Amino acid sequence: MARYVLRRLVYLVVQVFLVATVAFILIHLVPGNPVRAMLGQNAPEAQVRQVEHALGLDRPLLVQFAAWMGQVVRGNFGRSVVGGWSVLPEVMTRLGNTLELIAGAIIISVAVGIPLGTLAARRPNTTTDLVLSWVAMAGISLPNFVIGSVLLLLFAVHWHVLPQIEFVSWSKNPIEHLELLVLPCVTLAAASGAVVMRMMRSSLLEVTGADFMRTARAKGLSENAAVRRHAIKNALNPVVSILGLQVGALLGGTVIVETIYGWPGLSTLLLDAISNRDYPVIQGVVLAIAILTVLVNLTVDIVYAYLDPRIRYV
Amino acid sequence: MSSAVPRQEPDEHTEAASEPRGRWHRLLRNRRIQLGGGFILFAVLVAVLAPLIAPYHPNRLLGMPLLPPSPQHPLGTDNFGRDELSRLIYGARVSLSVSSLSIALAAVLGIPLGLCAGYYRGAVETIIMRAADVVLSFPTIVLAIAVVGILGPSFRDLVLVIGVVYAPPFIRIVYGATLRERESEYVQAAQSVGARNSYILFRVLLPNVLAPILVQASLGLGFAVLIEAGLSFLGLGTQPPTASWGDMISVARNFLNSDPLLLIWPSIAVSLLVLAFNTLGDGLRDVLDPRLKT
Repeated sequence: MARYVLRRLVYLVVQVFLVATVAFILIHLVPGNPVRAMLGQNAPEAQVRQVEHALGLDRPLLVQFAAWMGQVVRGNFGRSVVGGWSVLPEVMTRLGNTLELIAGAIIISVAVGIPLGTLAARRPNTTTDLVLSWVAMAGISLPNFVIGSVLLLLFAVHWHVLPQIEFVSWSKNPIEHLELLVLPCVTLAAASGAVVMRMMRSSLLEVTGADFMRTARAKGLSENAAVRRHAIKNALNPVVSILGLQVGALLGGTVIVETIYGWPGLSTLLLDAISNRDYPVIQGVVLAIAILTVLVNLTVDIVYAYLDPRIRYV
Repeated sequence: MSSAVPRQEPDEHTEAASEPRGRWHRLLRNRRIQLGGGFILFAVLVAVLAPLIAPYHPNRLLGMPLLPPSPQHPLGTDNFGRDELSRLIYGARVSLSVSSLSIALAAVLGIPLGLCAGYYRGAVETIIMRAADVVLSFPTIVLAIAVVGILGPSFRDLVLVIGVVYAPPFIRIVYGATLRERESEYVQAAQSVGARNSYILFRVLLPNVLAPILVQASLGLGFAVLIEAGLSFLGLGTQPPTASWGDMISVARNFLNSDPLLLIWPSIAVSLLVLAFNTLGDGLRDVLDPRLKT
């Protein structure tokens, strides 16, 4: 186990290095002169030179690359060109808000997906199963900007139930903050909840035929008790791992959800930076999101290797 | 002699020849494939025939904004007084062209790389698979937004970006299937008669890993429709005045109170198209790759 974790950690370093390289390349994708693009075509030449120098863009590419890596390693993600603030602290604040959404979505996915998946697996190929399979398909297929817009239409505009888009921080008013969390989390959870449900169904169906279930029935347990006490626990393993994989998808989903509900997370920071052509912020956010995804995947792999020792030898 | 009479001893040749036909038959009889494929066919027809069936030009300003549905405008008009139905019809062109071109690009990039990684193993495998991992470390839409945001929105860049970020799933699928097949006797047979590597990769291995590729392509098309609509929704995809479903949904959000229907039509269109691609993908998987059945 220790060797496996060590190997994965070494690989993690390589992966973060490569990911940071991609983030570094981003600014060089800008057509023409990135500083001109930021400051506008009519900016005076002297100012352009000055900003170029401040960003280090007037140095040779390899020197820039080394400097960028050196800064990233020391946790310095640069400064916003527009606001002048340091990128990393802002990224960390926004990251907290984004993680709140993801945590809420995971809780909802599990709370809804596991019972419904169990229900479908207990009645395979019945009308209930068929209806649930279409519900899951809809959850996966409906774009989150559609779900989000329709939910907003129904709740906020039609029924006047929830406050519309005005962010209230946790410290200011915890109750209102939680109320604000509901719709974005439900929107995010639609797809991941459906994935959890489908996985729970197929995994439970597979377990139902296992030897230990035959034993449980043979010793006189009712079908309900056998499923509750033996099958569900055994069926949860693949569900846990797919949930881990969903974190990446949820991070992607926050891009749209944060925009719709005006949630001040990482994605809104990214979109603002794009419209302001604030390249250091774009680089910082992309890097932060990628590192987060890599870390989550690593955690899932290690947990999975712990649960299933066969993985370690692959 | 009637073909319905069963033959006593089908020789190997006819059995091999009838197998693909049986497969086609099973494909067409699958309910999910019928539903998904049917709707996709319908959408493609609508997109191709758009100039013939749309009642108006999608960008023509008809003067009266936000009209309710009427015989002249079956779905009403939008905030600029353009016919909503016509824009919906032309929107299918954007969705289908971006998704099909980008997934074709992803397949063209991903299939050879996956075949090589699985067949040659060693350093080739390490380099290709690690590169795929790096692209996969970014949530697809985040990378797409960052690149499109930096390059500036254009049809060509949109296709390029989606194509590149969706290549790794193809690489992984093809790589996995190739690993399973490379030790097979038919591959060894081809090697032992001295077939060139390119022949083994594309003429021997590729046909045998086609099933998961088809499934992946179908799911990928649904995904690309989502990404295109999502980017347009954020204002980073197809630019106005070109009719695009994502952009229509985004604009409709400003008229939620007065004209909620403007939100509903394009939402239904995107959702049905994605649903159709996913349903088709699930059906293909059920028939072609039963091991992966969920």
